[in-house]
Amino acid sequence: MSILSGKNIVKSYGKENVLKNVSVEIETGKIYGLIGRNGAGKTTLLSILTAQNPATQGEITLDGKPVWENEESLSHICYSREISQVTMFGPNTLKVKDYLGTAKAFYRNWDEAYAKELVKLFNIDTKKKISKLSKGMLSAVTIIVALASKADITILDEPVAGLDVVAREQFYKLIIEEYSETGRTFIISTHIIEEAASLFERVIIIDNGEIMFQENTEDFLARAYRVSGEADAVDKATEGFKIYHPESLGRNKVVTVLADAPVEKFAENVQVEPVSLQNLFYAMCVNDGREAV
Amino acid sequence: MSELSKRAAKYYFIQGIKLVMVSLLVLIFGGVMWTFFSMGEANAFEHVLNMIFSFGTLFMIMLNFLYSMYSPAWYDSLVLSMGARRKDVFFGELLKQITFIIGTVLIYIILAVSLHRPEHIITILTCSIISLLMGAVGLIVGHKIKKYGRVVYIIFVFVNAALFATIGIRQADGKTLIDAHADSRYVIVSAALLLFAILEFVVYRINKKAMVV
Repeated sequence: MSILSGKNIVKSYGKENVLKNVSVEIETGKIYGLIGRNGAGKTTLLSILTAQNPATQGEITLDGKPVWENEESLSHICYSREISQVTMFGPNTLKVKDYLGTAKAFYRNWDEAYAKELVKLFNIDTKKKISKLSKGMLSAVTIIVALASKADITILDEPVAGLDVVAREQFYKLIIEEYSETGRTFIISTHIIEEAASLFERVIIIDNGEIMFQENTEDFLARAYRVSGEADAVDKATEGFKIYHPESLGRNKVVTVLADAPVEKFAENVQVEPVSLQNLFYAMCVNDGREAV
Repeated sequence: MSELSKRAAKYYFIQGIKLVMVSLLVLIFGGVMWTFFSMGEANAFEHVLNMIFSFGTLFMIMLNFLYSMYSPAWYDSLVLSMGARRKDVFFGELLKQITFIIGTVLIYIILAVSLHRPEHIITILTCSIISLLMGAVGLIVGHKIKKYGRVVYIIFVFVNAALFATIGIRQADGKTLIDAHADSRYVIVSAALLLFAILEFVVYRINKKAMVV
């Protein structure tokens, strides 16, 4: 089993620390979900893990060997980024076929037949310029590159942004098919957590440049609860637990609890429900006083 | 040479060939256009040939500079995001520029020889060295634009406008900044080659920390 490992990664832009001593381990043969708010540091982390950008401090290795400028390590990794429709000098006039041609030239295990199949599936006109594509089509192109690269560790940044529901379902199906056939590792960064949550074997939550949790998704959710009832009863039942996002509604109160281990039973006079990954993430991130961005 | 280096070299070589094609198309288009405008004039053929050689060699310098300037934030960034190493990008860029310059020089030399105009060959070769130098300048400007934004481009345009205005004014007064027709041509070529080597070293150092945008 290969391990893509980032140890004590710090990334600074001037005085601003975008990543603060982040350590992360990606094991092959798993699907990871990377979730975090806008500006949390997801894209920066992924760029550094794939040697697309240098870290200010820290070490990134694949099976113990540095990833930076290492052909062997890089040949196992594909980070399919969001494609920009504008360049520094104006619209991105590159055609889709040229973009895919570049991917074909550089990914060692590129599967041309599969790429063509995906182009057909997502109904992409390869003669179109990147600047003329819709948001959904741009996402489809990044998905095509990611899947056809056949890289052992494949990373997708916001792959479903702009895709309609049919295309999104097709994408999830493709990931499952590919995963079950090849055992490739996928890291998917997304804001549409509810839909993708069932895909994630492990979840990494990043906030404000720090990893809050990286854990098996099932185990993580097994110790998360939504506890509601009369305020006093809820306070008593959740005493000693880590509580997120308390909400009061008259005399009633609702809190999200993340226990250290699954809890057999809370007190009788409170209602306990499981929490979805999206709601847990919301509860964890909403309380630090930052407004929606 | 590693497999990745070979793939990068092939990719950049093809980019260089595409630029040669652009150069060839401009030559054909220019030739047709100047022939059309010179019809009926005495010495029309001479005039068209002079235009082709003057504009073509200047275009070689300009195109290499512009494509080099675009590259760091565009093609090079794309290639880097697809698993190429920084050194592959550096050598690939060099290969692309050399391919373009050699291809374009060959076209113009074949034209000069076949039309019995050997006097143009020395100008073509001089311009090819200047084109090489401007490729390195373009890469440095491109990297700075990538880092600091379009303000670098605006400053560069202003500096160039001031420089060429000065040269223009001096030439209007009958003075030349550099006498390119005398022996100083060798000095210019040597200085350009030396400067090119220095600038390539700078490009190499900047490129070592290149980021994907």
